[in-house]
Amino acid sequence: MDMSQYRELFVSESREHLNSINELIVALEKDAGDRETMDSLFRVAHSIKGMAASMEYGDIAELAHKLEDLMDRVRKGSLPFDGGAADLLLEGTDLLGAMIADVEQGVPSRRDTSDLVQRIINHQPKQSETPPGDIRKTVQPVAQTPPLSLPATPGQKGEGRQSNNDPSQTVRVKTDVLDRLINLTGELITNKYRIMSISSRLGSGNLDEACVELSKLLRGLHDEVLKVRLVPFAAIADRFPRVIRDLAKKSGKEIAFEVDGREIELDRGIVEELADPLIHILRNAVDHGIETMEERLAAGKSSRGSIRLAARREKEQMVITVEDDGRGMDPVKLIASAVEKGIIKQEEGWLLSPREALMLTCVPGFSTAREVTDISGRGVGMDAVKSAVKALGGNLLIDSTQGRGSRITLKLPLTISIIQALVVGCAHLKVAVPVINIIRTMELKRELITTEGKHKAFFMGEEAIPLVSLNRIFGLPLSHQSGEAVPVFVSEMKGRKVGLVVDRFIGQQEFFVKPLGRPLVKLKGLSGGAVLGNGEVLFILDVANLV
Amino acid sequence: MKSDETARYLVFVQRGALYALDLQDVAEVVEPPPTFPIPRAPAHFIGVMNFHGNLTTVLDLANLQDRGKFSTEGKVLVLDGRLANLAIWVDGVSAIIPAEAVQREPADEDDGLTAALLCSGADKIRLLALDRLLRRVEETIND
Repeated sequence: MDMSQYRELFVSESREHLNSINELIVALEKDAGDRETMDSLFRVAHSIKGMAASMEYGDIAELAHKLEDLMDRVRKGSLPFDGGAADLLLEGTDLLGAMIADVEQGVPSRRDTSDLVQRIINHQPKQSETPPGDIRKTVQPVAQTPPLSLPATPGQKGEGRQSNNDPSQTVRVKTDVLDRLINLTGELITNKYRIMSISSRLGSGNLDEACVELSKLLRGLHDEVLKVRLVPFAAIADRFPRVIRDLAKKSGKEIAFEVDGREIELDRGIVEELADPLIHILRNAVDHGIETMEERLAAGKSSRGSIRLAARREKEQMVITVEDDGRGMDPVKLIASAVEKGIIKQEEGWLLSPREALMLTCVPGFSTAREVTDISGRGVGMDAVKSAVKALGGNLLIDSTQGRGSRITLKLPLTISIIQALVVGCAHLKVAVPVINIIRTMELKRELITTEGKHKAFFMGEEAIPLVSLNRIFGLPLSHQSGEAVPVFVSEMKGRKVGLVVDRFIGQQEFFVKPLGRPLVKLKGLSGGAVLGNGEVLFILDVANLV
Repeated sequence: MKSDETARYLVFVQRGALYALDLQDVAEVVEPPPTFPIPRAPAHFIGVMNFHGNLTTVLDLANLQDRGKFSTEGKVLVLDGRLANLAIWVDGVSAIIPAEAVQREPADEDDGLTAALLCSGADKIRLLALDRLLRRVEETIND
């Protein structure tokens, strides 16, 4: 029988099981007596063994069997769940992940499992074993963490746990089919505007009615397609306890890691792009944020540091935060370091607000670490994070208080494919500004504009907001309008609110965002393009990176 | 992998000189399409066109080579999307020729964009080095 057609399914399901194993082991380290978790762990290993055996992947089945045996010994009380058992199980999970990757790539497996199998068979608890939950022991390189895989459908909490979902009510769909669905929906929306544009020219009541109906149907289709693409934040977040555990062990720090909002659902296109940036941020938090136990005790803190990852939905955007209670960052030192490295001039440093100074950590090549470590790399992390967030149409903010910790906030759109945007006009040019990037729009009365030297500003509440002309940024002629008010939208650039003056507001609509591709993708300040109903092409602004 | 036996070249005219592209690198030759302005793009970017739903940058090759401005009567060569979302506006298209009809020789002068000379009788056709062209175009962005 040709089993190749089932290979993809095997790989996909096995990876979900491995993710669950990682999650469950880390949970057991916190509470070794949790019988339900142990049973779940046993069941997941058993599932992998059964699936591998039916696919005739003997070496995978054999290793899974040994892991199952180890868990069974723990389950039956003949072996305590200690650090040694956890390390062996995680090592086995990593090896299984590598073997499954071989299956996926059609590579004949030549991985030697004998050493690990022997160690599993011979494993006995040490007399002076470190109690579960103590993470000071050695050592699982993070690089061994198997590649992230995401479920195609919204995942169930803890695969090994009993689920109320009826399998007959769900179906696995390849993710590229979902991508094509959203693309087709996007093209349909573009064509809807085209038909509406023709309809308004023809002035046909019947056609207008049909357009209204079409709009409703498309809105429904769009909503449903987006729902299908949603995956819970847990799809990536559940990998992080293992990552933090390994990093903490490696750096000899004690860290309590907490995840909130696992159930929050995000577009899979965003989730896929978030995994690496979040790992960068978490690595930085472990390596640079959280102090050593000695430093923490000397500072009057608990020896155990804390990192909290949280996801929440806020209006039409997703907000993800990583907070630590570590040493925090000193804006003055950051500026001094940037000046020393020639990234900014001393005079520029004097003008930076504390928040702007914190954003220096996102400049390529900037690193204030006293020494480069193999955990957080060579200062390229935050730059990569910012680029990834920017590519998703989101924003990155950094808050930090010296001695108390840091908070990195990622603000992201709910979906990257179809967005709401405001079309604005600058001279002959039309561009679209994602609504997520707009704090406020206004027709600003000229008498409310203040001038200081060459700079203009206005007050929004107590806050002075500098005014910048979008025409000037684009190198277009200024309009010199004579009206009583000027159109302004307030957005955020480099952590500071800015009022962008345009020639006119044209209107808000949804856009199917098209990628720019090579070479335009390199052009700063643009995040994509879109086609209007009349066939006109316009660009979507990446406001945060316009200047 | 393509072989010389199956390779063909698209020959085009640009400011009176003959140039060529490997036909496999060209998705389509189209009449000058409507283009839309690109904010802050260098002058050799005429604009962006909607090519079967893909946003494709239209390059004024004459301007990039400092040889004036594109001719409104020209043709637009849309490159294979796997290479780039780029189309090249040229003065005109001349012919499609098989590789065996020309003698391939090293470029006689280094203008940075010629991969080789294709000699056919008295004609010397410059085979455009697309990789170098793309790099040069990218280098001009955000200048």
